[in-house]
Amino acid sequence: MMPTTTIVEFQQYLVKDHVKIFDLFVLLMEKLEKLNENFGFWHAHPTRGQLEQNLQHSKKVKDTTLQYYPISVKDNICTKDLETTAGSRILDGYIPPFDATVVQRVKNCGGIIMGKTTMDEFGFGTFSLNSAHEIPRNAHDRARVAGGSSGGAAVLTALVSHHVALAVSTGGSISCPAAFNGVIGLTPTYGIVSRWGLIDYANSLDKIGLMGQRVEDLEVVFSKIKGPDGKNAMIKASRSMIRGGSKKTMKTLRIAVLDSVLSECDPRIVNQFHHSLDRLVAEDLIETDVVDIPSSRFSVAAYYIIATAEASTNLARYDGLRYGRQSRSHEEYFDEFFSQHRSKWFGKEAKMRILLGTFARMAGYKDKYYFKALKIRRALIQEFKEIFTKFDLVVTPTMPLFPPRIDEAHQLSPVEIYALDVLTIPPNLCGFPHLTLPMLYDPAPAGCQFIANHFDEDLLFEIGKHWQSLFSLEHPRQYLNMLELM
Amino acid sequence: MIGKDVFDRVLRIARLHLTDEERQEFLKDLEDIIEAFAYMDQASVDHLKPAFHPWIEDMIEDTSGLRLDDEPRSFEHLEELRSSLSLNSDGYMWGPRVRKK
Repeated sequence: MMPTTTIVEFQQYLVKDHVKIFDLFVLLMEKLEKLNENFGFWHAHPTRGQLEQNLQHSKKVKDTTLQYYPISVKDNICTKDLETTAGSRILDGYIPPFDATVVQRVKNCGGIIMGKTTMDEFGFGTFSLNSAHEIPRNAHDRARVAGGSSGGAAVLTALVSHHVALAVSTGGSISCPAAFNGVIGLTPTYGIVSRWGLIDYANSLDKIGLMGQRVEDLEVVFSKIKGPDGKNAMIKASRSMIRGGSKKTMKTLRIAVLDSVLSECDPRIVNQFHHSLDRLVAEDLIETDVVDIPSSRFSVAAYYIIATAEASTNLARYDGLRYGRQSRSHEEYFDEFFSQHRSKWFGKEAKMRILLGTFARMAGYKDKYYFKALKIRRALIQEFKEIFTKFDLVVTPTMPLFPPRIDEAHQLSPVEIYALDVLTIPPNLCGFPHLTLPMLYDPAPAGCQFIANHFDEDLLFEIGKHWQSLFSLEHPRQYLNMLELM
Repeated sequence: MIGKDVFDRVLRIARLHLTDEERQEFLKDLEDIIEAFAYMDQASVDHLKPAFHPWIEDMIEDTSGLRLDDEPRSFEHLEELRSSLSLNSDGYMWGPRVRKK
């Protein structure tokens, strides 16, 4: 069942007594600590003192849009006085002295930060199995993966009512875990949400987005976190485009079905995909046609080349002198000191991506790999833009498979794992906003992904609301309804 | 095939030390990935400009919206950063030597 209360209705349920609200949040945190023992979604959470401070701040805000509303934060988004590790041992102990812009904006309208969610190290993964800390487990079946890299965010979103998660996507890290846990995930247009305070994976690809159980909740939180930020050059440059971006329609939405990718999907997912679209068509909410985007078949390779090339330079800042772990032994010269520190504290997948990215940028190879990948990205964007002259949205399933069992996922090679991102990479590589919506829960959750042109998030919210009117979101067995704690 | 010599060069540039076992494993994985990505050769995109950024039409050629090249709160920001560093009693951060004598 879909939760029946909006953010505003939830706020109306709260008794306007500060002591009672504090008690409610303490009780919620106790319940979550117990749930976390089974599901591993938390890396860090506020102390009682920090919670009290947060609630006091929330009580006084002028903009009460998110007053007392629980918000979780992926562990690669900086939070003042709360450990932020990006899922890596190399950042153990790093407590940022500042809030990321998105966190500050959430707090400015009263949101309550309820913890940092577990993830693949620096976002490097499809299952969250590359976390150096807790491994999150699927909310509907603990034996299955949570998806990645925002695994903890998706699990917490599925398990708890009245909560929105701040998550991050580079190549599908919001859509994949949201689909695997049967919740809604919004990856906004590249650059529309400030990345200031986000720990970089790949600067031309990273996007902060949201997960939740209701499209309306995501719409409200999105309206508060997006927009120009003097600390982020990209977002300032996009100011005029953000203003001109919305175009709500009341007509039937024209949907392009990317048919060529369906052969790579589990047949049960394809069947439900067609069934879901047929229902929307039958209600006159959409009309569909089949399209092809030829360059999409090169997107996995292009993405991994570009993403790792950028990541391999970004990770050079972890030199053992700043951020997190700092080595006290300075007997070696800097190069050796730096090499030893990285070699000791980066995880296996981080090393793999540093090697791949370094190779792709190396003299003698960069034209063949890095520049080729950048040209493929241009071709892909042009093909999508052409589609968007005739259609409002493009649709595919979100992931080609159901979340695998954890033991099965451990057996997959890097090439096999990278190939699973085939559906989420195209919109991410091009910076197009996309929304994943749950469409199936048996034998495990699976999602459907709608992709819009840059800055057309409103169309995603529109299709999301249509979807909600026809299909129900199912809760896991251990679901915690906050209203029942009141 | 990448081969041992090129792989050694990658490791040197990447500033990573690997055990012998890790070297074998990473070299195999890297070669598998590069082989799997060889199909990029089939993409006919040589006539296109590289897209360093997703907004190819709106951003690359128009930099008028970029912020001014200034940092109004740089000093304050430095102070914030200092609080996250482990400093010696004299207030300086110590590191390894960068040049051999």
